[in-house]
Amino acid sequence: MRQELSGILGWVEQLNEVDITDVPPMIGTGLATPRLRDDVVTDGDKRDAVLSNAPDSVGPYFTVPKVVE
Amino acid sequence: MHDLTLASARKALRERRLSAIDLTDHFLAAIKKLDGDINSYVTVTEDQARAGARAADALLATGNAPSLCGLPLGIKDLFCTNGVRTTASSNILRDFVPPYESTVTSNLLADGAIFLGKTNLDEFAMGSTNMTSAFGPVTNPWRRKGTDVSLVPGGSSGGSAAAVAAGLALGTTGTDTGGSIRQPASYCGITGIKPTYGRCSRFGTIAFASSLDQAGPMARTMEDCAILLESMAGFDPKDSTSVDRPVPRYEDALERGVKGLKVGIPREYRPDTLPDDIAALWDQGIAWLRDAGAEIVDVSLPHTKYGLPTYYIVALAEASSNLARYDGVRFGERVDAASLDELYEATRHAGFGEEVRRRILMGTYVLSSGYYDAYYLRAQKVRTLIQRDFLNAFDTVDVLLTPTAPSAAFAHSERPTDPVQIYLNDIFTVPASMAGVPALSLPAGLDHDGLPLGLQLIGRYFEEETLFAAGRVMEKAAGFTHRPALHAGAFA
Repeated sequence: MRQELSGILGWVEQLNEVDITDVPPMIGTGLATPRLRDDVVTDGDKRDAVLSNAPDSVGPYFTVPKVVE
Repeated sequence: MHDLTLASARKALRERRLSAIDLTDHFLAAIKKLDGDINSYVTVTEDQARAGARAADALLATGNAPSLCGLPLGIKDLFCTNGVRTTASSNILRDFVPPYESTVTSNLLADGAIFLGKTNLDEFAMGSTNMTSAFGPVTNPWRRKGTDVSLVPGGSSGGSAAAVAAGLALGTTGTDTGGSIRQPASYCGITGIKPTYGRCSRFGTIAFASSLDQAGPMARTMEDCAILLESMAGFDPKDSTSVDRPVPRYEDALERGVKGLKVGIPREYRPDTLPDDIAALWDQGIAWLRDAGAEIVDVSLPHTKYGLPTYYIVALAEASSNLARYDGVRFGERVDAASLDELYEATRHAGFGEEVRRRILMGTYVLSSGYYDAYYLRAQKVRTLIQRDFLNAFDTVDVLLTPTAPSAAFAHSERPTDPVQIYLNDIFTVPASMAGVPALSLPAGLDHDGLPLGLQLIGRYFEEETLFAAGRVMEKAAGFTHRPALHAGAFA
């Protein structure tokens, strides 16, 4: 795996030959207009659905091994 | 029934010459007979499909049926389906049952489609061979002339492509991040379209690389893809990158023709290593469009060669972030351990396959402080240059025509061991993904071994209609009616 990762990194080094002076980064396509929505609840009462795939839960909580001694 | 297209089945159902339950039973029987050899389905939802078909027959009897009423489809197992296991072909989601429906599948269901089951894919859609699936590889229904060597279907939507090619669904959904609809469509001799980024909602589609992931249909014909895309596409407030823009009736664009259309031929897509069969087929495609009245124009997309390395930085960075959620706490598989940190480590080590691990590690590395500017930020800037290449080309031409993939399907045993060599399968599909422009692949002919080869049409943002029109002209000229060695019809 280490060798393969080095191989991939060596291969992407070719990007260093591209002149990127004054080129802005492409964050997305910019096709969608950024929008705001009202800060209101549009969904809810889904506790059982949210917990339905939990590997382990107690009542309304997901459970994990003890974190704080 | 084996030769039905989605469009002809729709007509037969409407005219009550065929019932939805018979049609569904036909496909379920074909899957039972043939999919043991192909492995295109991870899950078959027999009972739901039959119940859906009976409801569809009732609706069809009223004469007021929605557009896809009673049409059996396969759904890539990357789309969350309410109450139906959704695995992303990963062990970490082996038993994940979403309590909600993805927007794309919910659109299809609202239009009356029947889901036969969930189709196999490369784990988390990461691959171009379908060999990284935790549910086993998919066998391409096609064989080289005179051999029974098993070939890959391409990927990541390998199950979706193989199912359509073998007659195990009228159409399927795929997702395309760097070629995952188009490359398997090419390898399996079917049609597939990756629409403009933002055309189909990503809500409920398990994320790989969010700035690139886009759903699209895979089917036998241009018309079938047009019908399916109209249903799948549309604005969704639940996806912040969904674009609020009306969905055209794509079917109406099919017979527009290409008279006066300017078709660009990018010179960078003809490397010295391009196999002769593919170069010849590409020339044939050019001739078809020219004969139909299109004007052929040579164009240059100078940053093409940087598409793949840019993709493997951007996509892997996003993947490492998206896959952080699989921690064994809220959903998915868990490996118990004494401490929380050990639980995370053991869960992720056991749950992810080798290619996914490799990509998470790479993605994390290129985002790490100290390397972020050198890799990730630089790649985002090169991505701008790749996008500009397309925008510049589309100042002078309406569509681009290229090969879809640099080879035909290869054998499982011929898969290169070097990951970079595997990544090269996507060399012609990745640039359009980086720019977010729509692109489709259609089956244009066979190579000297009798294997299908695809040609790719790339268009301007939201000009899927132009792609369908040009694709339809080429489809008619190609007259691709070949059938693979493994096909439901051969077992009837």
